[in-house]
Amino acid sequence: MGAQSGTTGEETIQDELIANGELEESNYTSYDNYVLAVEDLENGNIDAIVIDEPVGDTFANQRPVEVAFIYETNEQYGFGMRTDDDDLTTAVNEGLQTVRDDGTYEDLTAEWFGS
Amino acid sequence: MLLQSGAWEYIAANWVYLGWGLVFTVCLTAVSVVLGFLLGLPAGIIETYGSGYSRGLVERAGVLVRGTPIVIILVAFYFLFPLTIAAFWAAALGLGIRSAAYQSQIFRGALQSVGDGQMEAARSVGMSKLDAIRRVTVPQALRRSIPGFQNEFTIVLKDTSVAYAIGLGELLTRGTNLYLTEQGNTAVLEIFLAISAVYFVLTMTTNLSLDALGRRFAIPGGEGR
Repeated sequence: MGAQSGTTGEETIQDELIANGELEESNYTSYDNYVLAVEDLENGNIDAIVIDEPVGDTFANQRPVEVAFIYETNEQYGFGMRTDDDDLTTAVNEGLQTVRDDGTYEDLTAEWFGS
Repeated sequence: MLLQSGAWEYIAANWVYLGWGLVFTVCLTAVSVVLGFLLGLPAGIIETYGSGYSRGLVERAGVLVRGTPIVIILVAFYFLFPLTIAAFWAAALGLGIRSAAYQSQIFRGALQSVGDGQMEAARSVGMSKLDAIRRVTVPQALRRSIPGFQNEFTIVLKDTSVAYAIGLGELLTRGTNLYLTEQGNTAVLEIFLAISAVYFVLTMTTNLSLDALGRRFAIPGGEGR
């Protein structure tokens, strides 16, 4: 199995498969980036990769690989800021609140993530 | 995996983006080699002719720098030291200091190859030690250091790709960015081939130029040819 190092895909393999003894640590390979992981999959060096859903779909469309199944993780995204940077934190939070209140947030979500 | 024409078209369509990578690679190489020369030549001279403190300091600093992997040097300059400098300068500083440590050994070797009689003769006609180094032994040593320097130059040139580790937009980073896209992800092999070809041409040009420099400064009919 393979995944990109430092991603939630790797975390899933570590927590759900290796920690439970379902996958040998030595049968996991971590890659610098996901394209190299899928190259190795296509070349037959590994049997499966764990990757974000939209990226997996792209690869399935472009290469002789397929999406085996989808594992729900309820991942959330956030903005990273320094803890003492209160001005920026306030500005970002207020900005988010504004676009949520006036509907822009939903429009953008529908535009980019709607089906 | 097969070479595909679509991949080459994709690379061609992004030539400006890759071209800026080339600019970064060339500038980074130039700054690093020059910095390495400006620090490495005096270091080599001190290791050969210096004594006591200065020599001990230079030798120890050299051992420390040569004993540290280049990725760690770059990451240290960019992420670990509390300096807020651009990635380019962090990379130039790291590569330059590392190159200085290697160049110092190239120049030390070349200086040691100049016969002791040269220094004795220079001193006996009344030159100070510094004058003798500057006017007699260093000019002879520089000529002999061209082959080693040629090696070091091409190593620095290709090691600029390590700046990938700190996200500097040189050739390898930009090549990687190109294949980490929806259109580019099937062009990995072609992108690596393309940037390797660019490194190859740069290395060839460097070698040919330094060969010409060696011929230009060769002693007519004499040694160093």
